[in-house]
Amino acid sequence: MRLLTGPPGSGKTRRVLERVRCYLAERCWKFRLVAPTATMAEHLRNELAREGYVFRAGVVTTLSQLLARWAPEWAEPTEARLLLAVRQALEITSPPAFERVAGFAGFQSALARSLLELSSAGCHAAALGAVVRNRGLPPHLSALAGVYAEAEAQLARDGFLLRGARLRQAAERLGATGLPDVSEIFFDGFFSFSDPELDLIEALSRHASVTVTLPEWPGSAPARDRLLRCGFQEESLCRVRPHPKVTLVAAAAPDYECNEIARRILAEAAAGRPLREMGVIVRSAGPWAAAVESALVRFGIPVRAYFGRRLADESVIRFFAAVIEALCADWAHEKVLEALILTASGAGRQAGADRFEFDVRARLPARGLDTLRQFARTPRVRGFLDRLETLETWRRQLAPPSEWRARLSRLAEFFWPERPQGEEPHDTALVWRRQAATLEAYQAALEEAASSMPEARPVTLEEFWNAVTAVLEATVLRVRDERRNVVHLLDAYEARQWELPVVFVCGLLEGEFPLHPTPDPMLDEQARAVLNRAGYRVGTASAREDEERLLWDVAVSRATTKLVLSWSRFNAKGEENLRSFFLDEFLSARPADEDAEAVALRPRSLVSPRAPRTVRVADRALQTEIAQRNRTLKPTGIEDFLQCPFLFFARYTLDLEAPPEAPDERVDFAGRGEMAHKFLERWATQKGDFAALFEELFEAWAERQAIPPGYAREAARLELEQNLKRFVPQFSLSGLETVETEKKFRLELGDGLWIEGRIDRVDRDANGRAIVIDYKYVKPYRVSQRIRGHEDGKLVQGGLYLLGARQCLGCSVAGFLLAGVRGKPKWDGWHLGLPGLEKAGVTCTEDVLEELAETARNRALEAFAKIGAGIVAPDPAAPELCEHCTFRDVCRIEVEAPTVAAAAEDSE
Amino acid sequence: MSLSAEQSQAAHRMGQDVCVSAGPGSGKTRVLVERFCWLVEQGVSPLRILAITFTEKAAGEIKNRLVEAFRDRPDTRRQVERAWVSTIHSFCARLLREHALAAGLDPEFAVLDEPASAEMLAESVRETWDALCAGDPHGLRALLESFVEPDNLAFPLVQAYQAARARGVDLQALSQVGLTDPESERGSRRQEAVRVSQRYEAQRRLLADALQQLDRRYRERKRAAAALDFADLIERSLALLENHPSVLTAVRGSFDHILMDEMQDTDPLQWKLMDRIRTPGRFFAVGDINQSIYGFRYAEPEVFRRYRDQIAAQGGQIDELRENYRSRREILRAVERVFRSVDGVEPHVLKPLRSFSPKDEPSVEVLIGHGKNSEAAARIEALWVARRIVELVGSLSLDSREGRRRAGFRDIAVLVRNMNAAPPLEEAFREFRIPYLAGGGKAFFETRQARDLLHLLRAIANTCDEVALAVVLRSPLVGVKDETLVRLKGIGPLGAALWRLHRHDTSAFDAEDLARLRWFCDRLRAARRMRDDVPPDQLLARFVDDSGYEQGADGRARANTAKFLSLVRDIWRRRPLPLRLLVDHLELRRRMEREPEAPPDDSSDVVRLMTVHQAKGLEFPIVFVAAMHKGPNRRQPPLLLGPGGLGAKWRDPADPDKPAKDLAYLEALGDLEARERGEEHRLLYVAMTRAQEHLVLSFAATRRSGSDWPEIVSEALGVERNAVDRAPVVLPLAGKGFSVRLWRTAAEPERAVAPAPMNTPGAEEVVLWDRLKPSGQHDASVSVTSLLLYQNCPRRYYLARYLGWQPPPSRRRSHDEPPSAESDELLLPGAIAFGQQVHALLAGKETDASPEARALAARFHMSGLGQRVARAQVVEREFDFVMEVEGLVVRGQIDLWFEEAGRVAIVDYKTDDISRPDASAHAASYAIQLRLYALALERLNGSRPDEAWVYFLRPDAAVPVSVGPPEVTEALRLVHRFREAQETLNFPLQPGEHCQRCPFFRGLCPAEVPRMAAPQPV
Repeated sequence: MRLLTGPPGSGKTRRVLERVRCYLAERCWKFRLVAPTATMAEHLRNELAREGYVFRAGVVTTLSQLLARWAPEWAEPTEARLLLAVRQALEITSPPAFERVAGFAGFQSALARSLLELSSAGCHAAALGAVVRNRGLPPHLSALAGVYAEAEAQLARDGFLLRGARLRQAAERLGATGLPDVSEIFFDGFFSFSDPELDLIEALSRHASVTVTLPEWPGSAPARDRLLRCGFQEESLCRVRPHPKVTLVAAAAPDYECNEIARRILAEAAAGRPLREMGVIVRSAGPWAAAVESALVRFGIPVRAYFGRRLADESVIRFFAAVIEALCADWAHEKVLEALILTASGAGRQAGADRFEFDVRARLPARGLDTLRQFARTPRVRGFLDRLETLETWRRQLAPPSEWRARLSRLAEFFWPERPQGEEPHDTALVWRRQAATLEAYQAALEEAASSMPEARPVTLEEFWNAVTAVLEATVLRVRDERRNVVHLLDAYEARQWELPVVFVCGLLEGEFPLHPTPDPMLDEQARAVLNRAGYRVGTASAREDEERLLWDVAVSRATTKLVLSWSRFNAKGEENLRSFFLDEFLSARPADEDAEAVALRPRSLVSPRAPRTVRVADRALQTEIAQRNRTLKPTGIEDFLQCPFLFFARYTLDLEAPPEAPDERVDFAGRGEMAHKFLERWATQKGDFAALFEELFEAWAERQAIPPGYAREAARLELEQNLKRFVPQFSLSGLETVETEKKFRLELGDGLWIEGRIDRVDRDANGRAIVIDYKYVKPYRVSQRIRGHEDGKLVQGGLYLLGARQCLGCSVAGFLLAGVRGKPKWDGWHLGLPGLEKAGVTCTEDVLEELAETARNRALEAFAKIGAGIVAPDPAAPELCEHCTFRDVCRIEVEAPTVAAAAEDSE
Repeated sequence: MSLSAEQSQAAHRMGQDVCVSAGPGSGKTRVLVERFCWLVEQGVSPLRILAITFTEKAAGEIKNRLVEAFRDRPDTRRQVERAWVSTIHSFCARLLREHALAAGLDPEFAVLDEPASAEMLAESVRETWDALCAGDPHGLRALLESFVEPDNLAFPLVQAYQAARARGVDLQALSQVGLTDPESERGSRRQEAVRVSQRYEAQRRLLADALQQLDRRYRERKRAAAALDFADLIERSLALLENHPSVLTAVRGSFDHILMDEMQDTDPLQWKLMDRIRTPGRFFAVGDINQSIYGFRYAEPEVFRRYRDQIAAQGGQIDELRENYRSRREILRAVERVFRSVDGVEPHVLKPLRSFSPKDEPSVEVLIGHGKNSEAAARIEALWVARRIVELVGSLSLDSREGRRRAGFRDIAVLVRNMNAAPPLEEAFREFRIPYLAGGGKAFFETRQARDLLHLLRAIANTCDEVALAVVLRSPLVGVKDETLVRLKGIGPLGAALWRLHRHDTSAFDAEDLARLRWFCDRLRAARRMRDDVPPDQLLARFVDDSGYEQGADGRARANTAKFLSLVRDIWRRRPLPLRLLVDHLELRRRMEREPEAPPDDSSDVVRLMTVHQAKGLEFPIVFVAAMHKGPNRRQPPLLLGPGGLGAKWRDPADPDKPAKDLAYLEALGDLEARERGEEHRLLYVAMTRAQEHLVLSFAATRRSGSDWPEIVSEALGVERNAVDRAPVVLPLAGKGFSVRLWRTAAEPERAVAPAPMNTPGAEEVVLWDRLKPSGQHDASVSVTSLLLYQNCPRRYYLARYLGWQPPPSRRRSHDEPPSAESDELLLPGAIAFGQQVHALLAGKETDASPEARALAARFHMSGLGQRVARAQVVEREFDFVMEVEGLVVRGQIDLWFEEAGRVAIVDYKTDDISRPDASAHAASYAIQLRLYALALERLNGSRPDEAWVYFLRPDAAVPVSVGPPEVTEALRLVHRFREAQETLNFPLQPGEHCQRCPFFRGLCPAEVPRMAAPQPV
């Protein structure tokens, strides 16, 4: 029996493999090489096969596979299964100590982790109970022991045994028989061994020669001591691997750091190094793995990440969950939309779903599939709604878990995968692989949930789905990716059996590497110390710190040729980062050969460089088309152009559709203005009961606008009501009679331009002279602003209304007034000194009115000419209004304005 | 570490709680670090010292210095690495996680950052008002009718709620405020306010009720999400310590000493917590009342003042650090002069201890812009600031460690009260081509890059969103001309037009634009297909990179792009969201305006434009305190929480346009204004004391200024603000130890000064690299059964094995369908189990096999082959193997091989339900399998097997398979083809009769037009 010890990189694995190769060369299968994980075993098998050996695959194995063979009647529960057992145990035992936290998912997970840790240390429930009783541990540990016992019993009923117990059982059996036809066993790649694992090793060593490798670190000392006590002969290995060239890279930010890794990989690849000879090591997945993966993908570097993802996060599962949520929410429209817009629905990939979503969000039909069907314009969307309907009966039913399992299994048929067309890129195929694996894992999750629940007790869909969700949350999906030539992205644990020519270790920041352990709410340091004294080796804070150091040693000892260590100087907030103390320590012992700054790197673009933008529509034919399209305009259209040509271009020429407004935003002041206009139109003719009329019109308006009941609607109602109430007493103008409201006109202005308008109100005096009135739902100061705008020629509504009233409605026009309806009522404008209007605007001559009209005509014609000339460049007359412009993100004024200026300079 | 006598005294003081009142630049962090080190020297374990800092950054800095200090003592150093040096929030988070059970918390609770908690609060407040609307419509209506801003109840309620929490106000108590008799109040204003309070008491109670409901809902949401906000961390920690004396004792017992930095920025609850855990005589705090500028986060300088006074009252010594190691004497004199009698700032003498080279020019400048209105004056001021920067760069000599050097852009910071003051300055910087970086503020989502990418996400999420599409199409992401947009719109709505582009006459389109549109269309289609499976940053990066979006972009633009990608990646990593919800989330964050721009690269030679708050703790050789006329937003909120409880502005029944303040509001407002005034002054103090060598104070001379800074500075320095100079003048201020360069002007500066080189940050050469086109993308290993399946139908192999699709149960082959040479996983589970039983029996394993399985196994044993096996010298069953073939690791399992009389034979059992006459034909389809087995055995044994048999158990038919060299070579070719197919993912269709039995037929396999078409991407 041999024990090979040495620091990471000292050649322990190499020594084991030398022996293994001898066996393979002799075609002798009387040995087993046991690796800690399946991927490591696979890696070793492939490496040996590529050396030309043909051998029995089973000679390289894992501890789990050994257990499956030697304790076959018991299975080890998955993490999800253990979690379900813990949930049930909590429910059954309901310990007061956990009363306040028992419902928290995080607590349940912590509890499950504690059980796993205790079991792995050989401390089963009864043993824990004894320790708690005998050594005066806090009461919550007594509760823990109770839950533990119940969970153990639950699991045992279903044929599961926790790891420690299973190892001990296998040890008992193998102690009696040994592994048949096996004379030598190697355990390689383990950081250390728990006591139950050592029991197994000890049992095996009674029948076969056993070689164990252990890295030198404090955490392996207990295992080493025990192995030595068992008669293992220790051979201590020194570091034999040549030191690689070390480069230290400092980058401004994490993204730059990852780009630098990509740049160096590309350089290595360009020099002929296969990608598979390079690896990126992170301490743990965290944000770094995602950032590295994204950076490599950008440069087309295929990367295999050795990390799993939470099953619940997979798109297919999110789709199933959305369907169930929609069902449980009585087909609330937003829930149905959440399911439909996912690509997994099949419909979600289609433009029809986009339209459906917009229509539903615009109308907010609340609940029910029937109400949603009216918006479904495509067969795919209708088909999806029909499929949902088949689930209708599930909602309030009780059924045994197995029945729910079978039913929910059929959700797989709701998922519409894409049909491969052939020669897809590898990343697309990987996505499909992930979806396929997800479906398989989903079925297993249903099975897991169903098997954990008593079949005799019927449950609701919600109850069953709740258990399924726990499984989906607790299950990690690892998707098969066996591409040969890829860069490896590993965490420090996975890296332990890898040896690669070029290795990048990144994210070397204080708090990232080493990771500071999260406090354990169940087993604090004191409890751990007591358990250790009682003979159960559970980890302590100091052991975790030792492990961090070991992981560091592992990470920086994987490279044979080049080792690139990197860190970022700033975090996302721009604050300076503190680099890893491990890195400082490492560099003080072994200064980097090269100290580099990250270089800015980007992939070369695929499309040709852009031509300089033109800021006008120059094509004559198109200009004509635009002019034609806009030959009939409203005064507001002209005013929009005068405010900004681009605003006009976006709103009228392009007529861009924006997403439906959020319900709360539908009660904005533009919307309220519409309601106020409606009211005043009716009030002009009807008057009478203010409250009844207001209520009728408000409700109709709110219905039309699809404004849901609630505070925003009530606040809008009140605001409108108060303002209109204040306005109504001042509705009539002294000496005038309201004769017409909402008068439409269509006026030919010249040069082919027609103006269409609708005058809010026309009042006449006894002589038949007309005052044109326009309501504005604005505060008094805004009315004054608009009056100034007319005087400055920036606004044309008044002038055009005067023209329209005169030429189309045949009015003898005596003035134009604006009525501010919001806040304190305000009348302002111009009139020919009509009696009674002394406080409503200013008295003016006919010339002034004429000038107002002519200015408006000229400004409108000017604007029309410019529209026809293809002027579209953003040029706001009142930049302060840009903030509220729907098209403020489209216009790119910060880019366009200088371009226009430059163009103007050029033309001069 | 060499300390001054004052610093040393402070660092080493014992026998009392220590209060270090430290002026700017006096080395307070240094003293705190020294205190820590000294305690360790005295034998205190580093792990038993708690050091509380104000920011994570400060914590990092202190830890770094400590680690450096113990560089030569590895054991201590390792302890220092793990020492408790953190912000108060991090400390609380750790405490709560450790005692999650006692605290009644999910041990895996998340800490909500500000945007996340604001989002949750916004949802809670909306829900609160809606619930009140549904539950008490009359009450709500009465409230809305009475409230001065009925449309604006949400945000003020949130503000009041946050204030209540920070001050530890009992929300229940807010409903029960007693009313006084108006006549008992002094002054008509107060009497009127009491009447208002009486009039609106019912409504005020409803507001208090809403506050409680908001609290409840917000807490419920947090509980459901297992999350805590920053205020919770303090609240829950306090509750933990109060309700669990054992925890309090344990925590107190954990630390021999507590050191606290920046104590003046502590709020009352934070102090309560620290006070609870500290042991008298072992607490050390450093602070400076004059630098207390976080009142908006409810920090109260009174906390530090009280602590200081308490120590003094107990006869303890206060350590005053007034030595300044940062600024020139002239600057310090100016600071003293300006603040000799200003509300909120305690006058102090600052002793200049850093030596500088002498210089002739004044180190303090005042610059005043005049104009016809405030905008014009602000523009003049901004232009002169820019001009002065250009003048100073390259001409002003600065001291540095390396000796005298010329000032660069990076030596300059332009500090403003808030970023609302930044636009004129930024415009001026652009005009003068000054490289600058606007730090922080709220600008990130308004940057061009964030807007472009946000709209790109919106367009991917929904192509009906024409505004989003127009943003993208006009951006450098696509970059088509406006003419092209018009033509596109001529086809239909932009989204639909893109999809229909290929069906329309596009001859009039600009050719380059058309190519771009087609490229975009393809990319958009691909992104839409993958949007739920690929992280959004990767989706966006493809557009960014393929379009060359970043080409020619400066470092700032690239940093913003990177920040956006990183932001969405991070959100997705925590929990993937449908794209539409992600967009909604980002839009909300955009509206909250709390996201600062991407951090700059500090190596860039740029001017920093930042707020005074951001500059806290920093120092710069040259500081401009600019736009001093811009005050804070002084709008009075409609709700205020003060000493008298919750106050509000109501509608005056006599005049609806006039607000009526109730008594609580009146009191709260007075309190607020007094606090804000003092804090405003301290802010100026902090701004001025950031300067090391040169200080420029600038403002616009406006009639109505929102700030009294110009007034304070002008009066202190004797400057007449309204005058205009012909040229800059120097005010000697004789006897006051400094002179001032004064420049008051209404004229625009000439641009004659050579424009600064446009050294845009990060505009250094960007390396462009072609994307890799890697080879070797085939799988590293393959099973023999996969090769077999591939041989029979490559497409089916691809679907079933490579991708791993399981056909839906309804498409699985039923018992009635004829079997075929298929891989087992496509058979019904019953068939698979049966096959496994038979194989297990034949491998000699004990199994609960069915009688039918036993009968089949027995049939083999009785057969001729079976008889030979019985006689064989070597027999290997279920021989699993791996070998390398054509660069692939091939895995297989030989059912049986044996050596009899020197001849090696291979046998593969099949349970196919076929008749004897069909056996030969069926065996041909399995031949490849046996040939690869033969190859493995040949390599293993050194000689080729002599025979190979497919044994069909049901008809009891043994069919020989030729495994000679040509056949094995053919097998190798197949492996080669297989590898190539995987390399290109080209798995051609082989339509045929077998399709009728294939579960993918009419589904995922396009061999024929399916009856029920699979959904296709748009």
